[in-house]
Parts: sequence; C-alpha cells; structure tokens
Amino acid sequence: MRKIAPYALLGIALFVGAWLSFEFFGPKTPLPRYANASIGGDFKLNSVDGEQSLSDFRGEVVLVYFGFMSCPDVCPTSMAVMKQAINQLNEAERAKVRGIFISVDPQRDTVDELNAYTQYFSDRIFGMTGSKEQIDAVVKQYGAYYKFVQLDDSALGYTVDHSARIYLIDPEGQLADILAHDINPAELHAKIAAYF
Amino acid sequence: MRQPLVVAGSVIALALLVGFALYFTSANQSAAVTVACPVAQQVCEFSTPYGEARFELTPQPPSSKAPIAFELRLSAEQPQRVWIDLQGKEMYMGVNQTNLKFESGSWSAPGTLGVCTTGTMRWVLALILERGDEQQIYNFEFDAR
Repeated sequence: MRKIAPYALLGIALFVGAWLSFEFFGPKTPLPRYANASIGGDFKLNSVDGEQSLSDFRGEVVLVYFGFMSCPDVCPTSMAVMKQAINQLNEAERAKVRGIFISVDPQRDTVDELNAYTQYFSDRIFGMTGSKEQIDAVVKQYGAYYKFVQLDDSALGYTVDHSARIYLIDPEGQLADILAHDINPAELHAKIAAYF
Repeated sequence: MRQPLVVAGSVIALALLVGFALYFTSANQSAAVTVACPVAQQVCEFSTPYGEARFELTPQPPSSKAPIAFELRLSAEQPQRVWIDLQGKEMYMGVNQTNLKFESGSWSAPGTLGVCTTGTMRWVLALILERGDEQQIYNFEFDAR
C-alpha cells in the first residue's frame, strides 16, 4: 500500500496540474469548428398531405427554407426568388424540383394555411411544419436558428428571428449548397439546372 | 522530513510542466486573437504568420438585408485554406460559415449574415487561416441588424 501511494499521488498531481493550466491559461471561448460538411440529412414533418420525409422526394432537387408566414419581408423575398428560379425551368425539369417552406411557428401556421401560402408563390413549393421538438431537431440538423421575440406594440404579439438561407438538396438527398435568401434567381436557376 | 518535501515539490513541478506543455501544444494549433479594429466601418490591417493582412467587408456597415463581400489580402505566403465563421456574440445563431477562394492575389467570397433579426445584434466574425494542422483565428466584432 505504501508503495502505491506515491504513484497515486503523482497521477492525481499530474491531472490537477494539467487541469489548472488549461483552466487558467487555456482558451476562454470555444473555437470555431468547420461544420458545413456535417449538416443536412433526412427529416420528417407534417404537410397538408400528412407526414412526409425529405427522403420521399429522392430523385428531386429540393430547396429548403426556414421561415414563418407572418414574416414581413425576408420570407416573401425568398419565396419569390425560388418561384422565379423554378419558373425558368422547362415543364419536365419543374416536375423534378420541390421547394419546402418549413414554418418554425406552428402555433400560427397550420398545414392548410401553409399550403395556401406556398401555393400562392408556386405549385412546386410546399409547406411543412411540426411539433416544437420536431422543428428543433430539423433546425439543429441544418445548423439553422430561430427565436421568438415578443412585440409589445404590435397586434401580432410576437415575431420570429430566424435563419434566412436556402438549403439546396441534391437528388440523392444530400445537402449540396447553402445559399443566400436573396440570391439572384438566374444564379439559383443555374444551380438547379446543373442537375438536369 | 526533507525527502517527502522533495518528492512533493518534484511532483508539483512535473505537473505544471505537463500542463504548460499541453497548453502550448494546443495553442500552436489554434490560437484566437481578437483584432481591435471596427471591421464594419473600415479596412482592417493586422499581422499574421503569412505577413501583413488587409481584411475588408463590403458594404459597410454590413446588414442582414444585403449580401456581404469578404476580401483578405496577405503580403507574404498564402495559407492552404481561409474560411469565415459568423456567430452571435451573446447567442448561438446557427452554422454560418463561408470558404474563401484564392484568386488574383486575394481570398474572397460572397456571404451573408444569414439571419433575419428584429433588433441590432453583436456579431463575432472569426477569420480562420489554415495550413496543415496549423490554424490561426482572428476575431472581429461588429453590430448589425
């Protein structure tokens, strides 16, 4: 027992010394890690046609967007960009493209209202939403973000800060690109048309 | 009486040595430096292992409503890769990373803040220069909405 004690003491001291050095002298904020390569993947949410998965649309080019219907400018701009890009495709190509508007505000945005909202822009754009847990899982999976913000001087009651990006999913279901919400429609069209 | 003191002193010295060695090994691979330069208002110049750096965002100030052009010029050798990580100072804002391409003597790429926010937010832009296992990180802070 007396022979083991010094080694145990040495081990403990080494651990404590290393920990103290990192604690007092090490980096204080988390360092960035390149994560673009690890985001994306399949998800399951509700639409007007019932529960659907991204994998149901295998073979199609999919544009995913996170927003909410009461969003005053960024979301309609993004939908208009998607509409213009899709409209530049021929009929056969259009049938192989799908826009998905994921509402992060399921309390206000029902699947029926989402369907009417998205179809106003294009018959190739569809609305999806789900429970908070489902939405949080997809948001995390895609490295997106949303946060409810109270509005004291508005009849809306609250708004939602949210990611404003278009996620381009290839026909294999893999995330191919992350695009600005206000990308030039011709540029978005070219990125979609590259798969046909 | 002297022997236990010598052992204890040696153990403490060895522990500190191991701790510092681990820290400096880690620090050589990735050290974050905060650049005290208002990057939202002006071109920022600072020193790097790749020579003097000149980093610029346009438009100034940046906004979530418009695309942002990132441009970095280095006076000496070039790293193998340059990328940008944009994050909220006070809150996680999702993954917002942009790879810069080297063309005509400078690293550049279009990007966005990628988030629609109600109010003004404090952002941390990490400019990351990589060669092999070596990574230098330069942090810039700015406000935008």
